Amino acid sequence: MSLFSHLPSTLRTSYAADSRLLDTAFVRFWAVTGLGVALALPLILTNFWTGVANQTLIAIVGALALNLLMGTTGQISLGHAGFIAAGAFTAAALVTHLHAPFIVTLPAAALIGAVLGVLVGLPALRLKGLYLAVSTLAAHFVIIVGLGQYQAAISYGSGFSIGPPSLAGLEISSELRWYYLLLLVVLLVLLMNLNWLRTAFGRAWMAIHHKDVAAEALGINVHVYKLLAFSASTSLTCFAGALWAWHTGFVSVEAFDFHMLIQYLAMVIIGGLGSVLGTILGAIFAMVLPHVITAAVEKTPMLKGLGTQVFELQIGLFGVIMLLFLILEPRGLAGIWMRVRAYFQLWPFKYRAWES
Amino acid sequence: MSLLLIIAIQAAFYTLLGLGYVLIYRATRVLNLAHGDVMVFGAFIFFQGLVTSGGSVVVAALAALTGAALLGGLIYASIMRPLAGYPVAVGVLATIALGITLRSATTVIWSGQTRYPAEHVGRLGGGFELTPGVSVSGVDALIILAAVAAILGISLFLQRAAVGVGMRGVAENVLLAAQRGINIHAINAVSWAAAAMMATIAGIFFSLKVRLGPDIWYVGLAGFAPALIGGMDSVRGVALGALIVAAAEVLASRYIAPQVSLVAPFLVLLVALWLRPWGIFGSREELERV
Amino acid sequence: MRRNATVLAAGLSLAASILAGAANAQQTYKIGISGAATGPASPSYLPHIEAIRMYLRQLNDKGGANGVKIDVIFVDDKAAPSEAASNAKRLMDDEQVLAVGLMSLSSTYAPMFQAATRTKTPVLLLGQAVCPGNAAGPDKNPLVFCGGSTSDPNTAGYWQVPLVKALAEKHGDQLKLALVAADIPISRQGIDNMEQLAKKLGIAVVDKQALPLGAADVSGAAQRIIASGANYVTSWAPVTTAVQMLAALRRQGWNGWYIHNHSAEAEDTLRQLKDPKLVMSPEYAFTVEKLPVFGEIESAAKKYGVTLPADTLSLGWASGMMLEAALKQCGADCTREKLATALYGIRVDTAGIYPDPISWSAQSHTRPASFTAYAWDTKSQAVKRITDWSRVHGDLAKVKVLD
Repeated sequence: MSLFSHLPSTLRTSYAADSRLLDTAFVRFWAVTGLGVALALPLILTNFWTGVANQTLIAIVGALALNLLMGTTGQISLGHAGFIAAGAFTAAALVTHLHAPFIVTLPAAALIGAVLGVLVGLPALRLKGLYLAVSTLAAHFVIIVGLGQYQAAISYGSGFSIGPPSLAGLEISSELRWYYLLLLVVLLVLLMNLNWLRTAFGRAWMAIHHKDVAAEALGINVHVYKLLAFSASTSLTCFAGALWAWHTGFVSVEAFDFHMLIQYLAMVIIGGLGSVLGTILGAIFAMVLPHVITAAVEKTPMLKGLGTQVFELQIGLFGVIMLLFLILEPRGLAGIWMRVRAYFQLWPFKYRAWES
Repeated sequence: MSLLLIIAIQAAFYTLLGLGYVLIYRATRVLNLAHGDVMVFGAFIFFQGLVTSGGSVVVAALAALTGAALLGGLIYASIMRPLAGYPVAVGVLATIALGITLRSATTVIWSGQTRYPAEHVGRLGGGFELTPGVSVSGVDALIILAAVAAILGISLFLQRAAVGVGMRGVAENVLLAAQRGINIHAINAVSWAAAAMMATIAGIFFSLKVRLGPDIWYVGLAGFAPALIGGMDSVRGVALGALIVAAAEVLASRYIAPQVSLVAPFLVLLVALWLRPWGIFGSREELERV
Repeated sequence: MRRNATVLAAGLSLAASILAGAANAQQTYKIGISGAATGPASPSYLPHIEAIRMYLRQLNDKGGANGVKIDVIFVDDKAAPSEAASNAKRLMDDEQVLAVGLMSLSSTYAPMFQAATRTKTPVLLLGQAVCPGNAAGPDKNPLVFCGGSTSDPNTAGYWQVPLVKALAEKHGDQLKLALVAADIPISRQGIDNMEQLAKKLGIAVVDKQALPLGAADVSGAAQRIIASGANYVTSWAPVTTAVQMLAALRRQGWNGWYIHNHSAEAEDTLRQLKDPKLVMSPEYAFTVEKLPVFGEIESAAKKYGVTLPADTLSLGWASGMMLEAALKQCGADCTREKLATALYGIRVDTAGIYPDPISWSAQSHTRPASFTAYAWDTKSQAVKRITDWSRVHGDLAKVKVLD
């Protein structure tokens, strides 16, 4: 008898039960605990770490969007930094030219993202794999160059400053207020994302990922659903970009470089392609690990002699850790989580009797 | 210098870079985004060789090529081999992470300061006249020669040499090649080593022409558009792709605006991929089956 | 009786420790320095960070300022605004530093300044950090003090354009000017302003272009400049852009003058390229002036194991001097408020690195700008100054080219 065999199995007897998000006691327990920890976190974090947490929350939104495209629908996209830029610039432009309030810029950015997604998704109808990846990279460059022209043309050489946003009369000017606002946003986005996965179009996306030829044969209009995936993903990404702009308070085209793209790719892939939990863990990994490395390196007396080389070393260390994660567990943090969970579930046995 | 000559030199340089991408794609089916950082690392070994040997280009070049070959083989053995069979995105992120690590290592070893290897090398800097009024510098002439030699040499190698034929087998159908007794891991390691050497040669030329520093890694990225346009697994295609991209860039710079020169290759790429999604000379990816 | 004695003893020792804590005043001055130590801008900014670190280590070895040692926290902002925002919170909120030294791109300013205003922490722009345009005006940020570069997109032309004109007159050339920017908004703004100033001076501007930062080759762009007939090219961009364009121009046989602004590597670049028609126009003295302070910098570099070339370390060293003077003026019991007011009263003599002393007033939080120009002299095989020092007062400078 394995250690957890007294727990109810995941046998579903109704369609509704299968679609339920919080289906087992295990999931319910961890959802409640996780929420509790998240709500209590700012009480123990300093202002700096709350700021990092806020950046992570925004990154989670962006990463969930990228996971939707890369993990669920299987379309490689290297244009992510460009879309964040598009969302950020939408917010900046609306504030600069129209003095638009916070609550207007967010849906505006999402709308622009939806349209942009359709345009960028058009090559996906004909290209696959690496070729698609490169065409999305081309989209990134086109967007960045275009936004650079705009920024230079309206003489904002040093970038746009956006003041703290006001929501229903309350000014979101402290990291603490941002935290609770962003936590709410992330929960809503997470619910929306999980919900999408159990709808018809979510299943269509997963089918396209597995084998789009078979999906087409089953009657799924692959072209429409691919464009829908790009549109939904880019829309959510631009939304994240607008949040980024308001939180950072400053928008300039140089901020959206390869480094940002690498961060998001790392979040999705090291998190585990296709897994929502993995994406969240990956976002925390990519945003928090560099600061952890800094803190660890600062406390190591041996490295003090390196002087300012130590900064370069930290970046190298991040690269090495990424490589180690990829080589040791290409299925990502979600894969590690599944292995750990399986180990405890099956102990003292090692293998399942059937593939689950 | 006439525009045609500029395009020819540019195309030759891109050919050298693009060949690296093609060799790696043929072996492990991945887009190597660390190519630029391998290029920089190799060029720095060359520079170090120049400084240590007191200006001997031959010694420095040999050291650089040997170091690059070892690096390429090591990358394959430690990173790409364990990741075989996983989704393409995982391989791409692995090369990105490798690039970050290599760049940091380069900066920690040699510092981020800009170097000018041309300072140590006298004769290559000079030029000679091709026709009245049109002169070309020594380095540029070498680039063209190197690109031509590389294309011819690699094509010949793939046709005649046993390892080369093995490489073609791996590029066509790696499972079948393995089952037929070809040592695919050795072949792939050789491919990666060769690609690293190509990158180093390109890097040496660039550092002699312009400058050397860890921040020139982005130059390596200029190679994948030509490779894609020509066909990611085609050696002939790279030369054609390089010519198209070089022409697009130079003409756009000269007649439209230099700002467009970064976007021009990508626009050409998009058009080319729309017309032929697998590149001009590329082989169609396997038949789509249900 | 004994219990009362124990309680009394405990109470006395507690009081003593509290009083001792109070009497100790300040153990160290806590200063934060945020800079572009890694990332695309690092070759230009890392030397300044190294140099100020070296200076402060030497200062601490000598006993510190006012006998108080300086505890410096260095953070890397990778030239990214979001990192700068995090660094600001860490330094100002968590570590409670007295002041922050900023040695990075201007795109990192806004988040830093916002945090500074919120926490009332003084920010010193050091090294080559560009002074914000309003630093001398009534709407300046009262907590921001600029000891960095005064060459910003609006004012860069006041020196560079008259310099080009003076050089052309000196060499008897009919000036046909081409302007080169990097394709980042701040560089393009600088070049646009230079174009207007050039036209005001009656200079023929035959070409203006912006080069992408990630371009592998700029031969086509160089060909455009040659075809336009330009004999003088000037750029206000990262030095990497200038070097790439110059190399492309020279390879195509162009023999004109290239005038660039400056960077940490300016002197080093002149020395390595040995191009007699490449001119760098800095606001500070190059080491060829052989001032005693440069010898100090060299020996400190040797002592503290800094391997970067000594000629890239001058600005960071001067920044260290500014920080030392500020802390000395603040006194042994320094707080943020005291430091902010102390900064108005200091006058820092940078031993010749900058030609004028640095001082800030209620009217101006920037420093007086004086420029000069250097080029490689083939005869003496060394870098040589080719103009006099010239003040830039918010209008075109008067340039005198030396013989």
